[in-house]
Order: sequence, then structure tokens, then C-alpha cells
Amino acid sequence: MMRFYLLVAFILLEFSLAQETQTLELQLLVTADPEILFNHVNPMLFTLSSPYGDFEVEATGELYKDDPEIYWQSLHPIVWKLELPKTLKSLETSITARLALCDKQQGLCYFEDIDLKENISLKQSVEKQTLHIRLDRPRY
Amino acid sequence: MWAFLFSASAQVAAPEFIPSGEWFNSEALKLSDLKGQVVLVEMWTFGCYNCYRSIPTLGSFYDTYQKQGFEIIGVHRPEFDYEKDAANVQESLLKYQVTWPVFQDNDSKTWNAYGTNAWPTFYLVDKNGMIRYKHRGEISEKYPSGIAPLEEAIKTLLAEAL
Repeated sequence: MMRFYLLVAFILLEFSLAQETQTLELQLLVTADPEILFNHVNPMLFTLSSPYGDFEVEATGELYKDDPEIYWQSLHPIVWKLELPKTLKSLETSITARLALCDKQQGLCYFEDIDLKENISLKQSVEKQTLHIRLDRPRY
Repeated sequence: MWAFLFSASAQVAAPEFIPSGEWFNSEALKLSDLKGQVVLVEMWTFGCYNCYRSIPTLGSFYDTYQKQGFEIIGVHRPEFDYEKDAANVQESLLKYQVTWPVFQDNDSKTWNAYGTNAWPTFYLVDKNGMIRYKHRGEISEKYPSGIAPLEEAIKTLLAEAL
């Protein structure tokens, strides 16, 4: 009987060790030329792809005061919180998004595709990292 | 925002329309059928703020110059999926009082053939089917700088067509 209890205890210990995780809090800051506006009529989705799955976040932003129903003047930080295996040392990520943008100086709209690839180092049990993307006005 | 009247050596033939979807306000047209007229090809979509705010200016051009051989063809190239629906396009044409021919470019073939990459973009085609003027960006009270040069180009090409 004792052996049985020991075996169960061992299995539970192994299981709990296997379930140990670390948290990655990844923040993406999107900054843009002040003439660029973000069209929010349709959801603006940012997808983080990794070997542990695809994680979609819908962007939010600061309303553009002249046309708040259509545009954001800026985007709030995009944040993902991922639970990853404790033993993982780095994570290959790819962040993609299709942004509907307008240039208020030129009075025109266009799409810009984001594709940002990063290898994130994981050193702490709660890792916080920030990535940046800068959007410039299109050159026509 | 940019625009210019092409010099003779820089002129390019306007690509033929490649519709994907329905025609509105007209039977199906070919650009080649419009030779002899001055045609403004308008790349737009009804959900584009800069596009629908340009419509009153286009309407004014249409009222003024249509009888002189001027035509507008709206190439409706959607930005979002809900703009692909023909019923939604039709509703928008009524809402914005668009009376000129419009066709759906849901597969972006015409958009791509013209090398377009932003809404709205306007191509002015002369009586021989050559692109002679191009303007990108809203034309409206809020963005008036493109109006006079475009109207001058229309008048110039109409005079050539006589």
C-alpha cells in the first residue's frame, strides 16, 4: 500500500513539474507620423504567431477628435500575455497585421501590412518585453 | 496629393476595364467604347471617407461637362468585405446621389492594372484612350487644392476632343 501512495505522489510531482510555466508579457507600441490616422470601422487585428499557437489581439486607440466614428489618432499598446513552458529559453515570434490607414494631409487611404519577426529571450519567470513599430507617411 | 498633366512622351494607354461584379447606372461598358470622350476613371469605395466626400466635386464636374463629351466611370474597389456586396454598393450610390456609371472591381483587377495603391485616385483619359492626368487624394471643400488643376485638365482635354 505504501508503495502505491509513493507512486501516486511521484506521478503528481512529475505532473506539477511538467506544468510549471513562465509568463511572457509582450507589448507592441505602434507609433505613427501625426498625419496618419487609423481607420477603426473594421476590427484591427494583430496576430502573434509562435510555435505555441497564434494569438490575436484587437487593437484599440485614441479617438481622432474631428472624425471619431471612423478614425483613431493613435493606437494603444497591443499586449499579449502568454503562458509558456518554464524551460523555454527563447521564443520565435511573428507579428502580423493589416492596417487601414489614412493620410490626413493628402486626404487618401491605403493599407499597410505589418510583418515583424522577433526572437524573444526568456530569462525571468515573468518576462516583460516591448517591441516598437514606426509608421511613416507613404512616399507618393 | 499629387497630380500632373502628362507630356506627350509620358502618356500611357489606359488599361481596359476588368469588372468583377455588377455595373450600376449603366449597361456594361468598355473603355474602348468611350473613345472620343474624355473619361475620368475614379478608383473609390463607398466606405472610404476621402472617397465619398469627393463625390460632390465629381457631381459638379459631371453636371458641367457631361454634355461636352465628359464621362466618369467609378471603379468600386472595396477596402473591406462588407463593401463587396452589390446591394450595399447600390445603396451607397443612392445615398450619395451618384448618377455616373460604376462597376465593381471586387477582384482588384482594374485597380491593379492601373497600378493604384490608395483611395481615392483619379485618372483622366483623353479621347484616344491615353492617361493624361492623375490625381491622388480627396477633392472637396476640405481638400480643395486638387479641384482646380483637375478641372483645368478636363477642360484642356475636352478642347482637344473637339
